Amino acid sequence: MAHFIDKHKTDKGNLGINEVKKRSIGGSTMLVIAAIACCGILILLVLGGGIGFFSFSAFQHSQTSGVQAAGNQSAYGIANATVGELAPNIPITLTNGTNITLGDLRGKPVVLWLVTTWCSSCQEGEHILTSGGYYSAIRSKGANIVIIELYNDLGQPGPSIQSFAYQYGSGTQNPGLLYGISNLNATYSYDPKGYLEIYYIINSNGTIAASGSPLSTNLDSIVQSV
Amino acid sequence: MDIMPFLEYESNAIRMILKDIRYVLLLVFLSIVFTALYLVLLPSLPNGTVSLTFVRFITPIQIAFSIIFSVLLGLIITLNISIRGIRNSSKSKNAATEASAGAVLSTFVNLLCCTPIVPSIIALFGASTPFLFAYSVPVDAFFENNYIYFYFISAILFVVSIHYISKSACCRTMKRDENHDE
Repeated sequence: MAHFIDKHKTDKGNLGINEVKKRSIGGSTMLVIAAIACCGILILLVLGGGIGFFSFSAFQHSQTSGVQAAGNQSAYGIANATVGELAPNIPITLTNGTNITLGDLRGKPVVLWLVTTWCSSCQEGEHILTSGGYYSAIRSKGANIVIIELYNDLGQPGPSIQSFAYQYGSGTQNPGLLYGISNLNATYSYDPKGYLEIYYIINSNGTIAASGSPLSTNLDSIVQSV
Repeated sequence: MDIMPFLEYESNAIRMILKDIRYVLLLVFLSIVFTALYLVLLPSLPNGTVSLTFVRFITPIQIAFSIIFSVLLGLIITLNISIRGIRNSSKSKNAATEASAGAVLSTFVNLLCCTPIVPSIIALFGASTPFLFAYSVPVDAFFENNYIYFYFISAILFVVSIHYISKSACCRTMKRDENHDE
């Protein structure tokens, strides 16, 4: 043991500058590890706080509104749009002022696309849909395309759905391509996860065949599914 | 940080690689490759995918930053290759960190708007639908409207990275010169 200590001392005594530097890195490594650990604890605290805050807020909201979200019901007691089930009927005010419901369009397949007019992927999706041959492909299968602005553009400033149609698409005059707005319930029902855009493929009997987001990258599969 | 040495280190380092035609060619090649990559990446990512379809939607700001990012990244890589043997120094580690952060930030910011990433993260906390709209939409809108500021931050991170590499190269050259004098 004494021999080992002596040898160790001797080795340390003979260390070059570079070796000393290398060994001193051990200390800084420990510091970095300690800093990472502190950051990890901080992140966990923030996450924990976030979970607590959201849980408490959700609890408070359910208490004050008296509406409990359960099963297939959204927070406001309206059925959530679910694949394989009947599409919830929603009122739609078209850009020409006509009031219809989604149920009025039964008998033909419908591609329902809910958008925020300010999001860039929605604008790109609108351009690709109307100019890339997809509109004709969907129409050739006898389907209608309904584009609805999510309620009040989800609280952010953006162009109206009519301006959106003219600025990024080919206008509102194309047959079978309907633009409109709906109410808050429709947004909660069809976009419960708070996406900026979401599409649904609704069969001619009114059941939802498929759903997804964003539209622009799924247009090929939409054309096949209709 | 003194501004003059900052510019001095960088100009010296750039002058050093411009003297060698191999490094100039490498810089040009990397810049072209990265520009092509960024021209596809920046307009594509808001859709959550990488596709040539979206190149036509690129904005003039994105074109400008594609070129800026590409030249800076090309410079970082060329400098790193030209200055061998400093990879273990603390300055080069800092440079690598800054460059990585800049590269990630410049691309990731485009993903945060429009794709379902933000609402999905908030949904992980167990938020209900009204709270998802209250919290995720403003975040999405923030990244949609202010992405240019994140591009600036990314460019600054690249420049800081170049500064660290240049400084490291400068110190190494000086040490080498001192050793030669001895």
